[in-house]
Amino acid sequence: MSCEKTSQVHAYHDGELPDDQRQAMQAHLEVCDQCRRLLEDLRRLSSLMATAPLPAVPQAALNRMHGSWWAARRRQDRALRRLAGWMTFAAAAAAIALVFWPLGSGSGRPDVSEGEPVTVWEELTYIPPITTREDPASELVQVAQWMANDLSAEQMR
Amino acid sequence: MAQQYSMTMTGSPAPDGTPKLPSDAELLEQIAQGSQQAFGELVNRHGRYLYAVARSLCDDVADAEDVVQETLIAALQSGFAGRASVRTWLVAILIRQAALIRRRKKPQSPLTIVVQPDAADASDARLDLARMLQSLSPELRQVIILRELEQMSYQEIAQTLGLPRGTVESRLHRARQQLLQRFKGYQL
Repeated sequence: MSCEKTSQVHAYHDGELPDDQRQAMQAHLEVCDQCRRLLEDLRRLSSLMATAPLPAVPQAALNRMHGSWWAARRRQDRALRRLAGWMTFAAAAAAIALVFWPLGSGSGRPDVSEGEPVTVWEELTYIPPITTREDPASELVQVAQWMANDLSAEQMR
Repeated sequence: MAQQYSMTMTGSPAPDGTPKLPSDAELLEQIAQGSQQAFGELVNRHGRYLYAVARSLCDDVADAEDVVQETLIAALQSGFAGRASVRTWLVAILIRQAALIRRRKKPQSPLTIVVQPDAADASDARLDLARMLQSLSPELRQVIILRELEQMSYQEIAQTLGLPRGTVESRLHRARQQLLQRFKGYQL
C-alpha cells in the first residue's frame, strides 16, 4: 500500500513545504521507509541530472549560434524596411487623396438647410458615411479621403 | 557593416584594479550597445548548455539547432529584466521556442521512447542529459528542466509556462516517476 504522503516528499525535496509541514515531514520520514526511499531516489535523480554530461555540439550548430547575431540584424532590417514601405504607401495615399478630394467633396454629404450655420468644427470633423464595401479600390479612396480630412483639420488649426 | 558594432568587451574592475571577466548581465548590456564580441562570449558561455536543453526538448537535431538559434535571436531582440539569472532567462525563452516549433510541426507523431536502457550497458553508463530527457513527453520535459536544471520554484515554473501550480507539481511527479522507473540501472 502506498503512503499518502509520497506526494509531499517531492515538495519536501524541492524545498517547497512551509516550515510546519517540513518539520512534520521530517518526523514522518523517521518512521516511513517508503517515503524515505523515495526521498533517496529523488536526491539521486537530481544529482544524476545535475552531473549528466551534455551532448556534444556539432560545429555547424555552433556556427549557427554565432550567426544568430547577423540573423537578428537581418530581421531587424527587414522589419524596418517593411515599416518604411508602409509609411511611404500611407504618405502616397494621403497625397493622392489631397489631390482628388475636392472633386468629390460634394457627394454623399448630408443636406444642410439654409439658415442653419455649420461651424468650421462640424465641417472638419464630419465623417462621410460608409459606402458599399464591394469595391476595394473605392474603399482605399475612402480611407485616403478620411486621412485627407484629418490632415486638412491639422492645417486649419 | 561589422565595423559599426563595438568590438570591446569589458567587465567591472575588481576591487584590486585587475580586470575581470564581465558578468552575464554586463555582457547583455554590452550586446545591447552593439558589441558582437560580447555576444560571442555569451554564446561561448551558454551555447553548449542551451544546445543540450534543446536536444532534450526536441526529437531531432535540426529542430534543436533551430530552437537554439531562434532563442538567441529572441534574446537579442528582447530585454533582460534581471528577475532570474541570464541562463534561466535564456532557457525560459528556449522552452517557449521549442513549444512553438513543436506546435508548427503538428500533427505530432506519437512519442517514441528513444532510450531503452538494458542491464548490459547499465553498469557504467553515464547517460547524457538529452538522451535521458527524451524519454519523457514534451510537457514533462519542460517542468523537469526548469526544476532540476534551473532550480526554479513551483511558482516560477508555473509563471514561465503559464500553467497552474498544481499542474506543475503533478507533471513534475510524473516526470520523476517515469525517470526513476526507466533508469533504475543508471547509478540511481
